[in-house]
Amino acid sequence: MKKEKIQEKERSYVSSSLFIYTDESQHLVEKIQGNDFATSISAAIFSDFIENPEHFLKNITHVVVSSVLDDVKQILNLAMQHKFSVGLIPLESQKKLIKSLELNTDADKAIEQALRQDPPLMDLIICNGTILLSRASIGRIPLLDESSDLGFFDFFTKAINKFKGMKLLKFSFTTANDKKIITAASGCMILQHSKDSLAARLISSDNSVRDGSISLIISSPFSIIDYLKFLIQAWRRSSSQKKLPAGIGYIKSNKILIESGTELSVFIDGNNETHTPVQCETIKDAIRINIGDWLVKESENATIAKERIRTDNLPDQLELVKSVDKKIPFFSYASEERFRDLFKSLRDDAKINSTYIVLMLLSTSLAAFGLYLNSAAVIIGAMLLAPLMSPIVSISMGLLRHDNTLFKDSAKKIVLGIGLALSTSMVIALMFPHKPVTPEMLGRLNPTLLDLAVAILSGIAAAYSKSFKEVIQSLAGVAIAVALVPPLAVAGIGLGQADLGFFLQAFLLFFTNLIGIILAATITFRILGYSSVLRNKRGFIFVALSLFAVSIPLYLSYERIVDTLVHQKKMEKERFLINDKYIIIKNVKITYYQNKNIIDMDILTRDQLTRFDMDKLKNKIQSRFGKKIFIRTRVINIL
Amino acid sequence: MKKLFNIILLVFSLSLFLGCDKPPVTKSGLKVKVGVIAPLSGERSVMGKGALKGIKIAREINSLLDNGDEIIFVVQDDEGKSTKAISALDHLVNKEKVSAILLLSGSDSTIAVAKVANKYKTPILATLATNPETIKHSQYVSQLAFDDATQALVAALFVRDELFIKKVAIFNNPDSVYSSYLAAEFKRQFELLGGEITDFINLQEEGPTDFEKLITEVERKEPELLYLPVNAKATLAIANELNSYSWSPMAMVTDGMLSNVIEAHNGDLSLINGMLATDLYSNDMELSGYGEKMLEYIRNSDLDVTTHMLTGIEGYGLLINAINHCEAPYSRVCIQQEIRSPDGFMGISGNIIIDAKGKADHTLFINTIEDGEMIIRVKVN
Repeated sequence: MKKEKIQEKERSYVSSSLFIYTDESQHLVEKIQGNDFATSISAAIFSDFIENPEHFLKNITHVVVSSVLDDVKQILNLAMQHKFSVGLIPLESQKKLIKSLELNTDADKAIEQALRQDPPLMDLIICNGTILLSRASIGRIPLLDESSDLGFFDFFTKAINKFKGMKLLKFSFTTANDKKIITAASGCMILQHSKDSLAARLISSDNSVRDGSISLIISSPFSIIDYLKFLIQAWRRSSSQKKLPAGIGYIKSNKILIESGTELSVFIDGNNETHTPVQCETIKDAIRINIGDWLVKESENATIAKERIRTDNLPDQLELVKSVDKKIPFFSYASEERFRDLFKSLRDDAKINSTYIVLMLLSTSLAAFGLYLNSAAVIIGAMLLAPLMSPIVSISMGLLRHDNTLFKDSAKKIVLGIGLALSTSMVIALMFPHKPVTPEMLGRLNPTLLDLAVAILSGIAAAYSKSFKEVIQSLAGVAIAVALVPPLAVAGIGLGQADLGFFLQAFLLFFTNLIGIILAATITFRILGYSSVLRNKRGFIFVALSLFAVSIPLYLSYERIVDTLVHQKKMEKERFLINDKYIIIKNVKITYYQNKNIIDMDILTRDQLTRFDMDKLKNKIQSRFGKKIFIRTRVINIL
Repeated sequence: MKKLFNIILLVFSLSLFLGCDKPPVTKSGLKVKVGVIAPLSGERSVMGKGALKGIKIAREINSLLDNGDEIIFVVQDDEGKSTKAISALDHLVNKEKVSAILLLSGSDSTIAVAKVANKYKTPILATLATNPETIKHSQYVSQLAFDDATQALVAALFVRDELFIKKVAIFNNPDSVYSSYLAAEFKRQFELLGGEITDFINLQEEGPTDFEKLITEVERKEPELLYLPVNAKATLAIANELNSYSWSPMAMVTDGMLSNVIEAHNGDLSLINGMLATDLYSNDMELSGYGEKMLEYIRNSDLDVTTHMLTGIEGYGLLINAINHCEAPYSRVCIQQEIRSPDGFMGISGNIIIDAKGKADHTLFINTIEDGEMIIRVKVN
């Protein structure tokens, strides 16, 4: 709709113009001279014009040019000197120029555009004396210089090819306000006004031909993981997104000096024009030139941009030493300085304090009472109160970064927590003469591979939540999911009841959770870039071996659980005819305790069941199980 | 390295050896004669032929006893008639000197045989007859299947306590002992459970029946379920009538019905879709090792699995199992005792125990018929 309105606007055209052409555009001479806009055209060959421009420019205020890019740039230089306005009729091969200035490819339309009166003002960027019309690139800027309308397959094929052998180099960027940014980058790119590249897409809302500024995009993929993240973000990016992808920096200033550790070629509008150091400067409102309607509209609203530096995503001075001139690692290196808050929080979490002790005592007591009461709500309350997750997350980071202090502090805190939990629940168990084994307790005596899966996912979630302040509140959910304190409380109750099997089975669940979380959180921190290498390999191997060792009983109990579920499902469909008494079985629950199958079920019947009937029923059910069974029933009479 | 390889090889070989089935039995040259009485012609030939097919399949898989003695069959056709069945019994015992008899006839013939069986002192295993009277006349006759008292009782309890149905209409073939017993027993049990029988309809064997009129009359009393212990022809006629009606009550048929429809009437199976069926088997039942072996053979032979066939297989299996527990020359007394062994025999899906009176404790399935298959609704042990 808007576009139509622009076209509807009444246009006026220059009364006279000079058309400069070369052999490639000679065919246009006749066409432009016979234009429909009553513009009188005089024509000159480019070489003649350059020899003596003053001769041709007498009484000429508008020049139309159709030639190669270098020639166009010379004309623009003269336009700045002699203050004439310019119209461009692009050659078919000048695709980037066409896109950049929104020129027409059709000859008639291009002539119409080129002859418009009162062309708008446009800034020019000059880099080491060379005019930059579209964009300049230095070093390797994977995909940023590619067309924004690349297909999915091409996009990822090019992404992989461009990444091969890429290294980060030392760069420094000095702005007009003398701000110097030193970083490591694979390359950078200056944009005049280009909408046809992925880089332009990243800053599309912040770029105009008349904002008096240079837009510089810096590419610094810290790691392959970062690069993949960038690719996904770039591929999906919409103009509404404000945040730059990881490993991408952005500077906007009217003057930028770019220096690199080693001399690098500078490609301006696709040509190798100069090398680093390169200074680029904007000349505000340097020329009047006929450009596309949308660019005109943008330029009319443009204001002079303030200097802006967004380099948070780039390596800083301390990280520079680690990353420069090295192959890009799979995972990023992240310094403590960069994640100061996180590391401070992890260190705090690893310290033993009175709050921790009080919360451990309270949560374990609550869990123990909840278990005796068979109350899921009370147990969930205890989970939320339990402070055990924090030191476990801290120990994972200590393991990853071989931070002995963090590791030891966290380990001490965890051991203390376990000790407190076991002793508290043991005391509670000893205090009560009645020792019921509730379903909530039984539910924590049969850990399986599924529990390990929950622990692993919780470990990932815990490390992820801890890494991002915005989602830190999710840790409560993680605590509920993995439930560290209730199994410890059950283990403590087992100790209190002097039942070693009870203790060991419940402790196995806790240990499964502990190992699963540590391992998963360590790997998650690694993927999130908190260490480029796993430094405490020995520690990690120990945890991994523990996980393997734990997996064996878990696998066996998983098999048993599957078997139990199959039996449960089958039994739900089974009926028994015992001495002509029809027995309906409902709500079958099979649990495994101390090498025995315990079957809890409802029996629905019309008849009174005798001991003889019950024995016969038990024998029939027993024939389905290898192991000895114990049946607990609730008889419901059908009336 | 070589040592390690040898150890692995040894362990592997041992595991293979230990994992193998027992070595194949070789023929001893001795033969054990077993008689078979079946309706191979006449109206009931479907069940006789089906069960005999099952026996042949089971024998093809295992024709030898554990000691290598071979089982051979002497088959007699009773044409579905009681008198012929008695003659066949006499011939098999006195002329052929068989060690045991598999009786594949219906309840009528089986009861007739039972009435004279004591005279012949030969163990008889009735594979298809489900009438409780079958075992009342002779200590030598045993049933393989659950009896009709059990079938009617379970059906009534299921309908009343699990489907929560109060009103049922019953259809009966008065000329059939099987049908009459089931219809009457279901009525008795259902009424004892507080249910109401809205109609008890005796279908005439001779002459045409106006099913349209019949169903219209039955509908008026609004039964929620039709109990149909009737033959396949009547079941299909009722199903066909209901199909053209807007009224669609639940319907329950009895054991072997689906097999009869498939084998004898080649009927439109969609007509009986959704009907409940009490049966000895189900298409999705859990199979024992014996059942797996038999059904694999049947599937590989591209045969349809039917209830009749499976009773033949189980009957053969149970009898062989009993003979295997006896020593040559396999006295009839020993075989008789072993048929009724309290250890039972692991049949197609579960253990079959025949008690001292000859009554079988056989799993009963209540299935739903879906696209020509019986899908378990409940399994009664």
